[in-house]
Amino acid sequence: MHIPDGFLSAPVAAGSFAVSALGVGIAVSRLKGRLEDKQVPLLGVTAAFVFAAQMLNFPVAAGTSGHFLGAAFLTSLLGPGAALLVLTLVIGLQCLLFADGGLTALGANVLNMGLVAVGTAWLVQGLANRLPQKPRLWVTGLSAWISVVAASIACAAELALSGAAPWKAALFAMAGVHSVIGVGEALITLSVLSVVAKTRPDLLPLKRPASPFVAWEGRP
Amino acid sequence: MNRAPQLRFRWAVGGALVLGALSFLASQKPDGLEKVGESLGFSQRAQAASARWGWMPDYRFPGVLDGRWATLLAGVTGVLLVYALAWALARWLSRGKGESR
Repeated sequence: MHIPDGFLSAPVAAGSFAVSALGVGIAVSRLKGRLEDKQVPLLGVTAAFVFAAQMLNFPVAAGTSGHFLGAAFLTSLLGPGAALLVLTLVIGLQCLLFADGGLTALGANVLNMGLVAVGTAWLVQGLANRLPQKPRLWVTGLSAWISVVAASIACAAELALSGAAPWKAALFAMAGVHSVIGVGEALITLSVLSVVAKTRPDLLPLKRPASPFVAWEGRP
Repeated sequence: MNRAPQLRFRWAVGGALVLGALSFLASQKPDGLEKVGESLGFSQRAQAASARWGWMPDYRFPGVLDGRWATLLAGVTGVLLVYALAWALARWLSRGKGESR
């Protein structure tokens, strides 16, 4: 759901840019000097994976395609702060290098697919913390679905505020298509996380951090 | 534990490269937002002319005429660039550990 140039009005583009810049700035300042050395290669690998997976559009109903977003996957592996930074990097490079997503819509794209998607995934995964191991995986899948639908609702709101489409029509159309795409997101998130759990269980966090911005530290 | 973590990461990078190479198999159908733009009639707001900036607009490696190979090369380049940039960002973030702030 990369928004191209022209969809958004100037105030919406500027406002969403300001909110995104604030969120990314807070994440950077909170993570600075707190990232574990052993997380450095993990950030590189997960960012490369998310970028590559986002290129692979899979078909959904009626001549439409969707692609993996990765917000819930990154949040469960890196915590929300680092997940936001990785997604911002991916979305920024897609915009600047590949013209995927408009330059003026960069703030809105980071807001939807970064802040909103990571934020909702983190909230839902926080609930999973209270559950035993088995249903926790399913709640992570649910968090992937919700992150995509929430991002699409934020996108619909920006389109409506920009006068591109009426709010209700935009909401139903965007949330409708992305509730199907979100199923793909959940399936991919669960498959990749179960591969990680089998091959590198040491990468999965045992307990979630108290603050959303501190990289998780609990390792076996 | 931690048996040859370097090797495992090499596998992960290799996997990411394979994903990049698979990119030309991806569906060419419009994505969710594009489809909604068509059905609600705001897709013509997109400024087509501005979609030409950038090094490799539309995931086409410059100078490669065949569309599949252009996308494959763009994908592999993007994967390596994102990997390097995220590594550099994480390296920078992990500096200054333990300093009071």
